[in-house]
Amino acid sequence: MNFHSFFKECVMRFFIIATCIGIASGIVGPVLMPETHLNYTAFFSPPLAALLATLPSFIFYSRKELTLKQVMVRKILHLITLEALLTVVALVCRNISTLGETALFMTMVLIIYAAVSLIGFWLQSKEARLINKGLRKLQEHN
Amino acid sequence: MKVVIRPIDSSGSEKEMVTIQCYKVTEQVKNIVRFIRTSETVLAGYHDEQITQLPLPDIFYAEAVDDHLFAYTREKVYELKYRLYEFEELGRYERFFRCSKSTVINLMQVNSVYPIFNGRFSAKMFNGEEIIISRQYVPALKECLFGGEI
Repeated sequence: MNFHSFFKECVMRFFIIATCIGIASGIVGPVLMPETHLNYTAFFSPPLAALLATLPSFIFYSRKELTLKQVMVRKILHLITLEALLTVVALVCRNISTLGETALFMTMVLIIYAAVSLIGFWLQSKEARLINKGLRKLQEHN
Repeated sequence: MKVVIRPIDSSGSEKEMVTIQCYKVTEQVKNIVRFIRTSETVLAGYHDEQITQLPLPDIFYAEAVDDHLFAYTREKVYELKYRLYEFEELGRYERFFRCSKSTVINLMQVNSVYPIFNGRFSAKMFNGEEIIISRQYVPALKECLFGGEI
């Protein structure tokens, strides 16, 4: 895959992650920290976190087509890197401090990771339906 | 459209040919041309030291393995004495499509396409075989199917 296509995918992933973080914060925030009031700068948190979460995506970059096994290995590496990176940043920024909070944070990252993967798969399924429609049309036309 | 068939002398003094007389080269005319061109293309397929005449539309896909090109039909596998890019060029009018570095598939023999890991798709052929469509060829496939409509 060339770098241009890869970068386009990263940008798409960035927006999906930012949306998922926004939704997750909206759901988890009132439950865990109902007394917290956020100011306008808080709006920058989801895109900043999304940017941070998008960076490990470079693990997937390869000029050559990866085999399924290579993809699986890189996917696991990606998840581990993502969990480690985000948890360390959250600990350093003092967003989380206790073991319980850390576990909850890591679970949230995992859920968002699964959600992003599912959305990606859903988009691909949509693309496949479109291709199938085109194929039917082509085959009927000939 | 009026169709005129004029039988010619079989001695070979005149060559067989198709002439299309039209006001404008429309998609329909292009399809007729495509059909005429492809219905004539027959390749020599090698199987068990035998040479078989292999009509291009009968080939489901062709795969290059270690400098050899193999054509897969519904039931048999033949070796072709072509390079992959030459076969790709031959099959252009027959709706063949390069779907990975080593494979060219016949879009007319694809039953359906479904997503697999990491942006790739799998093409299920009418004979049940499955071929991987590399992610880098997906935009070209859409261009081939929709011609810039999407």
